[in-house]
Amino acid sequence: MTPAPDSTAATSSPGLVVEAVSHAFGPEPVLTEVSFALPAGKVGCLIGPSGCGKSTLLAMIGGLSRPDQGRIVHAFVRPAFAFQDPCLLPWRDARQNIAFGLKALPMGRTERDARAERLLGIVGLSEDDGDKFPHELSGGMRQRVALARALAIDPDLVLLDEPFSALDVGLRRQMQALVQRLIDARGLTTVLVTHDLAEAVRMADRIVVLSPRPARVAALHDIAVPHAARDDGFVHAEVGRLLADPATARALAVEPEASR
Amino acid sequence: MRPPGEQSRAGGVVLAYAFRPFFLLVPVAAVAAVLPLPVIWTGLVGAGTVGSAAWHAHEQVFGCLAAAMAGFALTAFPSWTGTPPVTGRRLAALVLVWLAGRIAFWLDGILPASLVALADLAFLPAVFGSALPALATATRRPVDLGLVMIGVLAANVWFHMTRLGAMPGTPDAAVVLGLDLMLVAIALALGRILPVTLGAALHETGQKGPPRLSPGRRHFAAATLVLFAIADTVAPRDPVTGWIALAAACAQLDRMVELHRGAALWRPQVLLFYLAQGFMAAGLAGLGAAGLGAPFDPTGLRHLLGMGAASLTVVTVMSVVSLRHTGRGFPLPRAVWIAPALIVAATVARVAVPEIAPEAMPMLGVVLPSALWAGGFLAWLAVFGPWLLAPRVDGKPG
Amino acid sequence: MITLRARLAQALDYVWGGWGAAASLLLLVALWEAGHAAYGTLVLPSPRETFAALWRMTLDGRVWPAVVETSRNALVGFLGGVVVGGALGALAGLSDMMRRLLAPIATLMLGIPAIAWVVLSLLWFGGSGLAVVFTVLVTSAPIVFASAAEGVRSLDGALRRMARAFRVPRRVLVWDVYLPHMLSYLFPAVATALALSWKIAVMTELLSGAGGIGDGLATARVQVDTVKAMAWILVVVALLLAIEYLLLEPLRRRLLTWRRELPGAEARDMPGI
Repeated sequence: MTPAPDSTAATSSPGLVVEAVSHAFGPEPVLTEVSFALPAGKVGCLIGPSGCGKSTLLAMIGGLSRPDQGRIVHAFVRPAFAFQDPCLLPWRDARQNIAFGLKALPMGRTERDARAERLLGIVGLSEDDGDKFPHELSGGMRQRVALARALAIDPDLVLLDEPFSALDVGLRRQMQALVQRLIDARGLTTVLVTHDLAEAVRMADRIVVLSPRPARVAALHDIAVPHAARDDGFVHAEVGRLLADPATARALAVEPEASR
Repeated sequence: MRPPGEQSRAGGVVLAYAFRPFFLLVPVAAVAAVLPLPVIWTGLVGAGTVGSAAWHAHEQVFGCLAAAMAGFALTAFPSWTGTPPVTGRRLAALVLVWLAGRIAFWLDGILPASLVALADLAFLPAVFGSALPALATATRRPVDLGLVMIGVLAANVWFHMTRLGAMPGTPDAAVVLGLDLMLVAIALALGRILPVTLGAALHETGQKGPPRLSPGRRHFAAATLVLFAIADTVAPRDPVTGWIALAAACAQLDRMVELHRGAALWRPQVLLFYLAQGFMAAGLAGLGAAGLGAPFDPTGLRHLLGMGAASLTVVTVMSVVSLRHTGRGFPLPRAVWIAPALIVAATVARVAVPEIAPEAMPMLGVVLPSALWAGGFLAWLAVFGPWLLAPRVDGKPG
Repeated sequence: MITLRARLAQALDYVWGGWGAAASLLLLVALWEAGHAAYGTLVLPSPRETFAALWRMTLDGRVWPAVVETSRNALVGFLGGVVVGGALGALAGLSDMMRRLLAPIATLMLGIPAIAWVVLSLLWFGGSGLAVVFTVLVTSAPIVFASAAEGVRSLDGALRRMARAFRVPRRVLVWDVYLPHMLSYLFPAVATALALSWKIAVMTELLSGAGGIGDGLATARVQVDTVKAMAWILVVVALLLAIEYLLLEPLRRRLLTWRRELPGAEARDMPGI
């Protein structure tokens, strides 16, 4: 699809623009005047304390709901979601779950099956795993199926809502690497919601720090180091550097040493 | 373990593990148990204390099958329980006890009846005695099989007591109980054997997945057989027994579904057990129908159980155990089919002739099956005997 | 992907599973035979006598029409019960107001013994097939109601959100999300109601003399013909077994495969030889 755009071109043509978005659930404001931009082909991270409205914002970016005020501008036509809960259909096997999103596209059954089969391999599942039902899969495998389902529809925008937070540490790193590899290879614009700063530092080109509810943008950080070059030492140092910023530390309500 | 020099001594190899001497003797016992039949039928011999049918049945069940059971159990228990096997001198003593029982029973009518009983009854207690010290320390004891074997011993005690007039009943009823209990033992033992053989067959045919054998099915099949053994002894010709026999037949059939694993079913180590279970179901169903009034010959049907079910299983188990415990791996040699084929032919002749041509019984119903039967076991001996006489191919002890 | 061959093998294995059921039933027959031996034909006729009587009654052409009549009454009542209970249950699941209105009534209906409904329906409809249909309907509807309400109420918000995020068409939403979910709730209740409907139908027929199997049973009772009574009972039992093993269980396996146990989960207690 889209070739990996070089950084100068990307910064000059923003793929996603969130402009002064405000939203309220009933009388309670959730988002106040949130604005940021994300160049096409980049990974943006929304980070903030839980319940700050990150997921609400993500749903709006994906077009699942509309903001009360402000607007979200982008030219993407095919967004794909992966959620913290993999949200697989329990009555469909892994292969059929991967093919589920394809049913929204004008596509024959054979092509759908072929694509599901290919994705199964891409996310590192065996052919046998494809026959299994969600309850027969481990948590990590379920998350892989959810990821495959998102990528199957050949999205131009990937929206990830804390997809790793239910996994244990080893598995989380493994899945982060897998996602990183897959979106880098496709040059996909990605918005990742997380509450883990280390994860954000590891994966994001731009980190949008949201304050506690009602959320506003507390800080914006760009990380220019290529993904491949971000080793553990870098991540650790960078997390420390970001938390040295008082606005970021306050928004995440952590002392610099207490970060994960 | 044993010093290496002892292995090379004559007899050392044969006494290195329990299956060797007993599996060498099983074919001998099988032939011996039918050998006098033509003679007995002509009335030349028969001075013993039991009828010819009871004599023959006793030798098959408490001689031949008991030796096979002992060889199997004393070989398998050590690997199930992690206890040291019975070998060398103690094994030789066991074999002698068994031989003494056979010789004594052959000389029934010449030796005092009580001496014959003592010699014949000594074998199973000796087997228990040899295995007990090790089993006492084992954590996982095969209690179910042990209980059934105690039942078999009790049936043999009953047999001799009726012969000596010390207990009610007939020798024939006692030997039928013995056979019924042997079937229970076989049903239970198959639960331990099938995972291995089915697994090997699945592997050979390139299929994935575990053997998938449900303990529930096995226990149900064994429980119905226990019930049948009890009913068959308490009320042999009652319709209640007939229904129980039919139920037991269905439970055995139900179990066979676990072997429906595509091409794996056609491997000898699976198909032969499958056939044996089919024979067991057929025999039980026939006995059930006979108990409810169908005009079948019960003696013929008992042969379906003894020859078709029990012996076919025994021969197959002997083949598999001889293969694995002499250090060889699957697949079984092609010659494994010979003995079962002859035994199946013998079974069919023995069961079908009295039903369709009773007048041809002496020749086609007794002599022919006896010859086929003996041929089958001798063929087994020719194929597997050399393995039993030679050390393990992988050089390990045992 | 499941091939035709694998399907056939599965079907064979299922039919073969009938042997296990047959073994269990035959043990019961053995117990029956023992009961007969102990108490005699007047109390408990022997299984073989009963089977023979059933065979004679079938040859006389009395069994089949009764089976058809009872089945028709039971089925009509059952379908009515599923439609009424399902629709009201769906309403109760969708609207909290309706749930407050209907749930206590359904609980009350569930509590009324079937025999009370038989008496009422006899008073209202007389000894006609309508009485049977009505009784079956009112006894099966509340069973379906509760599960339909629960199914609709618990239609997973997360799954619906996921389906919306992927912008699948409504047809897919119904077929892949709503229907399987509802089936997993409704099926057990519908299966229970179906089995129950035959029993209720026979009971109502017996008391109303409206024909069918129940009527045959009533006649046998009047004639103090235990053999015939047992034969009719066999007919009911055979019908129920046929429904369970030829209809419900295959459907259950087909619809609820996704709940299957992990393969190879059975314990293998000891190493082999």
